[in-house]
Amino acid sequence: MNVLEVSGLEKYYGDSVALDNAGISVGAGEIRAIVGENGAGKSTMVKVLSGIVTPDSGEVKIDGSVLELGVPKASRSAGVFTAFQELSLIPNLSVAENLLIAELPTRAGVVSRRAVQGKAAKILREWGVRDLDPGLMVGQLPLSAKQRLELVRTLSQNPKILILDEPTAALPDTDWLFRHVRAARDNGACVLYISHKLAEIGQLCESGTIMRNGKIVGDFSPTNFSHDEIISAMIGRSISMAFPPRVAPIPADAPVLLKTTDLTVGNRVRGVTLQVREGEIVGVAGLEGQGQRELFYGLAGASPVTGGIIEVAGTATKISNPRKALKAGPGIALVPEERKREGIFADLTSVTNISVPALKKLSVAGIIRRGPERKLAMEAGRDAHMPEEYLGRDVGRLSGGNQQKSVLARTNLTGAKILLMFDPTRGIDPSAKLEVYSTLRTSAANGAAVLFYSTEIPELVGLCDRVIVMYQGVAVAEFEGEQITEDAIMQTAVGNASSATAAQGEKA
Amino acid sequence: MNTKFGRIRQIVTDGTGRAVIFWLILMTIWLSLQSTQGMGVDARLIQSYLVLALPLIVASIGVTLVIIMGQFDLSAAGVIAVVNVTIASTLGSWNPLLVVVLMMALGGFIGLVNGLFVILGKLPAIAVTLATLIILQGLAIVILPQPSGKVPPFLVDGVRAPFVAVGIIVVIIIAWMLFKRSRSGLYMFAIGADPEALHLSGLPVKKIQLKIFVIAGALYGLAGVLMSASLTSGDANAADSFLLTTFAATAIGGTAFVGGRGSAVGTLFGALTLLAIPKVLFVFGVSDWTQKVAFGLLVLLAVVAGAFSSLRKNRESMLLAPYSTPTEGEPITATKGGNA
Repeated sequence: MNVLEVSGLEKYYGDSVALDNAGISVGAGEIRAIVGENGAGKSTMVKVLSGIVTPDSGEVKIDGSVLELGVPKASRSAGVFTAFQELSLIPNLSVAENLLIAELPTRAGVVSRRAVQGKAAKILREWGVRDLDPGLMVGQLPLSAKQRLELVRTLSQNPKILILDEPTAALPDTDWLFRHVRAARDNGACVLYISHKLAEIGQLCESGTIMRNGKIVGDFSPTNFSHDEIISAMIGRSISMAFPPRVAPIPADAPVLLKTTDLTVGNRVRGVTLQVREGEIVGVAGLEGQGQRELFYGLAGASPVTGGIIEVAGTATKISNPRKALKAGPGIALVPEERKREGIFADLTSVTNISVPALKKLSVAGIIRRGPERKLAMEAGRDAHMPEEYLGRDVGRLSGGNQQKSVLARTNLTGAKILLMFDPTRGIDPSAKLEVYSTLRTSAANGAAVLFYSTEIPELVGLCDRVIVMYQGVAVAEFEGEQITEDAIMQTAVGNASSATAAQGEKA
Repeated sequence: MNTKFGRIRQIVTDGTGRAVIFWLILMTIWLSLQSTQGMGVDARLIQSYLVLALPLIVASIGVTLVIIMGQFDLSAAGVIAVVNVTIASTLGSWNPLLVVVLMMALGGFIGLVNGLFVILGKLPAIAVTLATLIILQGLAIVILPQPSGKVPPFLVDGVRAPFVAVGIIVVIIIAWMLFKRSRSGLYMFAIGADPEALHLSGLPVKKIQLKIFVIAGALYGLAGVLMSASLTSGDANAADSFLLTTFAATAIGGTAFVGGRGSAVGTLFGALTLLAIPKVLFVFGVSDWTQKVAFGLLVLLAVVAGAFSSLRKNRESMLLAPYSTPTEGEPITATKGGNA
């Protein structure tokens, strides 16, 4: 009998599907890989099993008995323990306190520091971790140490169902983890191993499940399948979206509007050198949290740049805030990641949202002239494929696609020629996506330099003239023209550098 | 930095340490000028200063707990007012111990109501507790329209007895040291820093948050009793100033308003500092109307000093953890050699 039986899980966030009739069964002593693109529903399923997220419907059985959903305690007492991708550690508590957080030993109601540290030191020793002082504040640890701590905390609970969500994202020595995971399996635990790193899955897992768009789309045997086949299944071949045609190759003498040399932003962007020429759309690819966000926000003056040189239209420029970015040379404008929080003024009309950068031009003695404002917004809106009938409505009430078109129209009105597009198609419907592509291509054709980040690899393949892949804060690969394939991007995005060099070898 | 200088530096940059230093400076100025001007310094002077400070200390600590947890609570002044008029109008001849317990229970109940709206109802704390504050302040006037009434004599005399005020302060410090190291205390700090992480760890975040609101309410209730003992009668408006002074004391004490950091001992000295400022201004002979301006400036000075350190700390924490480098984990396991 299977230890874990999951069936019919459904979870919706508003209109978007996180889990769509997802089911999975795993037996005792089995290490099951779960793979899928960002947003495929892996992490949501993990959170459902851990009792953190309550699904809209569905059932989870452990050893045949139904698990009460949405109750962390119930999951824990059923033996489900999870090392979370985002790490569930408290920054202002010590290593020891974090390790024992759920069952802190007390003496007369007071948590005895000595007892906690003693017990924690013993656990750390047992799990072969020798370089972590139990008294250190977790907030001061490097990410790799935090990841190890999260893993020790999970493993030391002797889980019946052990869930590891991207456990090696920051872990330098995977052998250590694999040894303990295999030991847990040998003791009869059932292990769900979620990872982007297919090489690791081949080493560790006996079986695998592929998720896409919240659904389980198939199983695979990690030893018999080629990486390409798995990646194809993850991406899905059903995508038949029309991308606007690329214009003829960008002339080599086209002016470079944006150039960075060894750019660093905190310690998330660690020396990125790139350039974007006039008329070019350069894609940025990468798994979540590889420094893409900080790169974009650094270039836009929204995160402090800590090193390197930014050249705007050939002039070295210091960009300390978004206003300066907008005024630098031909202007740098950012379309930010979180549309709802950073991109729109939800309670203002679409017209006002679009015309904000031109308000000074539109007003006489401080009073905005409504007629010209509306006319200008209509023109800018039309270029961004914004339906006219929505212009008078509050932006917050429009669909995500129309919100984003308002943002793009506004960005165009700033007159900035360097456009930083951070995942502009996130959470918008397919037809709106196509319109966003065409807006970007038109901007480029009109002389803009576009830097475009997307979590959806097919978009990068279909739209971009060049694609840069980021891994751990560094641009690890660059593809151009025919080299831009989903496989090539995926392989390098998971840190498989050999295919990057292979691609460059072909080029040479 | 293991030098003596390093340790001094640590005390100065720590919020509590700075509050203590600021307070000691003010006390030195006050008491030395007081004696050189021939006004005399004796135990009674200190005693009356501490009796006046006790309610502010206790109420501010309640506010501090809520702020450490990453929430907000404006209701202290309302609870204190209602407790004060209730004691003065009806409990004047009751058993004093029973009065203390009842009033703390009343405060705790109001805290529970606040918590239910804020935590379970997911409503903004500032709006909910502002509403409770106004309701309670109105209620206090309904109960006792004119300043009058009496407070159990045992409470009035008890709080003024030798060493009682100092004793209470010592008890508060010990209680904080214990609470800080209790499970609830640790969870309170943890929630203020990252409620989501604690939730992922499978802990009942909402229950802990409710508990802190209740504890804070009970402390306001106790503060109400202490203020009644200090005031010796009832006055529906007497607690109005607590609305602002509790937050000022918290800020001077070095508790960051972002949650996850803070100290009740810091707040204690913040409250003592706040009440020492008028004493200093008095011995300097600052006139009544300029006193308020000078008072405000000194509060600003104390707060700015506190804000600078928390600003710097924020900046440090803004630097994100670095990516691991493959060499970093090498010394961790002894069996690494097999991997060629």
